Amino acid sequence: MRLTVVLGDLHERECGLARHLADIAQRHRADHEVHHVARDLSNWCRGHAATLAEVGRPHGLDRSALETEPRSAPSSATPEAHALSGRLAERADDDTGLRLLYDLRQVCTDATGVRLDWEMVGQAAQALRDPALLDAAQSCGKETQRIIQWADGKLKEASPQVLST
Amino acid sequence: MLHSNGDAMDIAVRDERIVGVRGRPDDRVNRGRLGPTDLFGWQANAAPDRLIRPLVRENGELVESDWDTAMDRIVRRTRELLDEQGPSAIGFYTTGQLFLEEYYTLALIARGGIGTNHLDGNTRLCTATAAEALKESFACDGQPGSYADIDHSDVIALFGHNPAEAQSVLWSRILDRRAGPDPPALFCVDPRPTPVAEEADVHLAPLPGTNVALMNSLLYEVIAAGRIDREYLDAHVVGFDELERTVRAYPAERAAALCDVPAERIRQAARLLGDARRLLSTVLQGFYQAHQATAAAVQVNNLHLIRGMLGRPGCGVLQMNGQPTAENTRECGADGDLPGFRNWANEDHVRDLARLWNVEPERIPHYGPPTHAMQMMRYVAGGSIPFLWVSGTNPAVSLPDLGRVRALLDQERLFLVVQDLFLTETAAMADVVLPAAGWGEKTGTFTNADRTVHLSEKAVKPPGQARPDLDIFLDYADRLSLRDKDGAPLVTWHDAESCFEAWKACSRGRLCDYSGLSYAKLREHGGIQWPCDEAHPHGTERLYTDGEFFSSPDHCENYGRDLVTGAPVSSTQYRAMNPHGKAIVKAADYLPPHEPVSDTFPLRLITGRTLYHFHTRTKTARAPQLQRAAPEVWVELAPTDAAGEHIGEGDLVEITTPRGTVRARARLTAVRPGVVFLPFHYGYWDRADTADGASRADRAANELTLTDWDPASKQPLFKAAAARIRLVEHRDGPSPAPTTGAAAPLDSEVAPTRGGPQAYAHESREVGR
Repeated sequence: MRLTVVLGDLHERECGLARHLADIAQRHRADHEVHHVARDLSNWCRGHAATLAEVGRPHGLDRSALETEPRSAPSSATPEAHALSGRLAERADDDTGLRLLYDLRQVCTDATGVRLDWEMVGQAAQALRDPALLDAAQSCGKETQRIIQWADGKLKEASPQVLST
Repeated sequence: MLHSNGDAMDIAVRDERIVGVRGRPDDRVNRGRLGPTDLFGWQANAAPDRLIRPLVRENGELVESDWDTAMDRIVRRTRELLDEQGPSAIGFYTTGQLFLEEYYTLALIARGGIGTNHLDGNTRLCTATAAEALKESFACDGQPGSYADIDHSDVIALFGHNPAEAQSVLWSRILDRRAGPDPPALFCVDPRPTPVAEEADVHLAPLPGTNVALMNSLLYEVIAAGRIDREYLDAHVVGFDELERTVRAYPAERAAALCDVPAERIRQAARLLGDARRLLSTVLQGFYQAHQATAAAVQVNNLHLIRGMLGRPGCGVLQMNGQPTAENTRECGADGDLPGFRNWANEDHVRDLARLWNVEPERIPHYGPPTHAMQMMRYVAGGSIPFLWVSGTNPAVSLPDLGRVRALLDQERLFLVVQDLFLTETAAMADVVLPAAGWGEKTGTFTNADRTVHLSEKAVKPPGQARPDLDIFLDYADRLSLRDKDGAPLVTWHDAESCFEAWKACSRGRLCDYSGLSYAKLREHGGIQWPCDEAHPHGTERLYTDGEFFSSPDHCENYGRDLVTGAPVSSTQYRAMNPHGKAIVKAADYLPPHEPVSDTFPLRLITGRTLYHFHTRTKTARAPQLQRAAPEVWVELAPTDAAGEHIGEGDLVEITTPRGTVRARARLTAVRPGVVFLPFHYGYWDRADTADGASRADRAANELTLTDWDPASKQPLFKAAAARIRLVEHRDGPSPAPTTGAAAPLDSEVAPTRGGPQAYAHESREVGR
């Protein structure tokens, strides 16, 4: 079924987004708000993938063929190491400024794709009259929109200082 | 003066020195009463180690200098950086303890003159969440309630607020009601056994970090019991349906498990709140400095919106402030706002401000929200802000994670200016130190947490060459030759009163309208609440009477933010959500804390105040009565947690978090298990044995706190660290903690804290007023 293909792709992209957000959290751990919020949002994407695996089963989504949802967004090995490496990363001259802008831009574009996937799924759910699938599409779609808005807002907020120095 | 209450007092002067204070009996805020910090804090003004000359750094040392030299260095560096990099190189970090006129001047200099977005105050650490919560619910800052609501309410709910130690005069007013006829019921949320918790009829002590779960559950129970005002919601509020859906997932049992409080007591609290006929709620740091700060504070607003409890006597919300003039930083745009509660995202508001200041709109940065303090520090750490001017605050002790803060402030490449009364830990790292005048030594206005404006007049001259902060800022603007777009001086006033007149024009038509006030009026009448305009010449007791809000898309201050991600709501989204300018109910789900407790760090560390001290004790440690009452740091813990480590009252304990270690003597109290408390007042300036602070940095609570802040309010989360404790050595005798307040010992053998005759205040009552 064509829907199965879309569901499979969406699952892969949610997992990809979860990983990307986790990477951002790690890479920008000296930017504490980005670090903490990106971790929270990575967990949202994990949750979306898990939900999708559930509601997608009646539509042919084969759980065993899906990649395992990534583990909880990791921090460094120990909390102390995290605190220390954060300080070290901070003192280094940062190109991390520009890196952050590009990372956020990537989240925007990737998450927009995910949101469109959920939109399609939501439309299919209405046509097929599957309330569980529709519910998932609406709530996951909404959270994905919030992720886009976060990345976009952060990009706008961070770019003046990075690009004028 | 050393809190946000706005207690009015007269200053006694003899031989050009302040010799005492006396409360003003007619004042609407305190009616003559004063708390300990006001009774004794004034003595610090005369401390022998006041800064009396400017200092500049020469060959690595701070040496005495003169105003011309000091200001010249500052101006030269400013100009160099503006040429090299532009306004993004310049940052200002101010306080919540200056006057209105000083903030407004600084805002004009920074935003209208230099054109930098980097202006914030230490109000970010105490009051940012109050402001943000009000913006979320009402699209505009501005305290809805009034202290007078205490006199009329039948239920008073205090959420993470310990007025017994933070605003003792306010607490006295509540106790007056409790002792009188028809006393209000009290509900208290606090993990510590504060005097409020002891007095409360219902007390909940949730695990720190779970406030959203608790609030959602209270809201769920109130809604389920049908205790909502449907008419009010339909007429005046948007967003209720989303809230109802969200809180359905928080029956009392779920919150009970998350918060570790009895489900039945949650239901009991919900009944109290639901049955109240006139509900007054107050909120402070137990919510503002905790995980999900804004989301939790907003739920308190929601409680009042769904019950229609706003804008009438006894029905109100007091999102409290911590510092004397925190309110003014918010109004004047010396923190993350534009002056006059203007909306940085609204081009018309920016144009209006530009017209007022006679500058081009592009000069005023409005491409994003103003840079908040923690972000500024990040830029300082990374080197993109090489100039930081700190006024009236001590970040080297009051910011979280002091190891990190010391490192970033101590950088060679940072030009640090510090303006203060004493050589604080931060000033010791500065390139230029400017001696400032204190309260009583300069004239200006200030506004408290219930919108009451007072005039504070100069009583004595500042010592040595110390100057009022206003004069210093005016001098800076003058030396920089800041001009408006026609080439005239940007700053059009020359003293406090002329600045106040200019501020009146700035505030006219905005919610924080001062246009009906004047120094003469304030002198004659004492405290007056804004808005005070032609229509309300005597001020305004309450906001939002009759469900009229300042939230229409064209007039509001702020469109709000996503409570989890912090993303600003766009103008289009806001217009779609709230086209008719109603109040806004916003829902939030509980999220687990960012630094969870673990086997290695099984306890939750919270920090806070004691009655006797304010902030980093710059003044209060120099008032003998106050210092004697609480001379040294302590740690509060529950007997069950202490027993595991064989810790007894008074023993020396090590408290460790991933950031570092603090040593303090233990005070065993009735604090809830799983929680330890450290007062955050104890830095290093008065510790004789540390010549170089960094090597024995084991006293300040903020060595341990983590660098994380609420995404919506950007307020640092001082009450969110995971910790462990260890016995260092047994000590005889009790901990140096005071025995009053939440630090009250379980051990009845501990000698009570007594001030003695030198700490007495005389209070007399005049009957028939």
